[in-house]
Amino acid sequence: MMWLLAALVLLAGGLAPALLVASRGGAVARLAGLDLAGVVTCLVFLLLAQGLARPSYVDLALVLAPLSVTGVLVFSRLLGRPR
Amino acid sequence: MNAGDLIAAVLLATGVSVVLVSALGLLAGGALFDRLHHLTPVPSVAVPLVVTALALAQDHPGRATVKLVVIGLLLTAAGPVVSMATGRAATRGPGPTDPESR
Repeated sequence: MMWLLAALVLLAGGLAPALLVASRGGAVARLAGLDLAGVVTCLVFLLLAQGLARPSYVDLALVLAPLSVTGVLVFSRLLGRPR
Repeated sequence: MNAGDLIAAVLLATGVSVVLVSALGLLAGGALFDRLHHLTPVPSVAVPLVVTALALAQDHPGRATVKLVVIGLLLTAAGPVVSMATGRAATRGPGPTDPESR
């Protein structure tokens, strides 16, 4: 129960603000929200895997972690002015 | 509740609190570099705390714990890199693919 409660708190208090930040402001400023959203989503998947006793959900976090990092890096590379 | 569960609960509560404070700081706005400062504790502090709590809660430590540690290390190591790349993009200004430059 503790794990599901933590996942719910992270969804409401972590993911929602991250999506809000990622949906307003300049293009580069939105990257901060996208970065936080990726990390929080990974944590939510891990907590749901523990809370629901579904170990396979950990694989989602294992895939999402490198993909979210790569996504933000690609966006930062494309949005910034090349040297 | 044994000692391991208690430690896991404390680590989990601390990690979730760090995420909440960081998210509130991010919502408070400010310049991009201020936002990046608020963002830094999440991968550097909250992720190790939550992953440690989850690892302590495993009934049969093994492959699942290794997966948790790999995810935690990946996110923790990538956090500063991502912040640096975002700050770098902001310093250079909008590039040709940025909608603001059109």
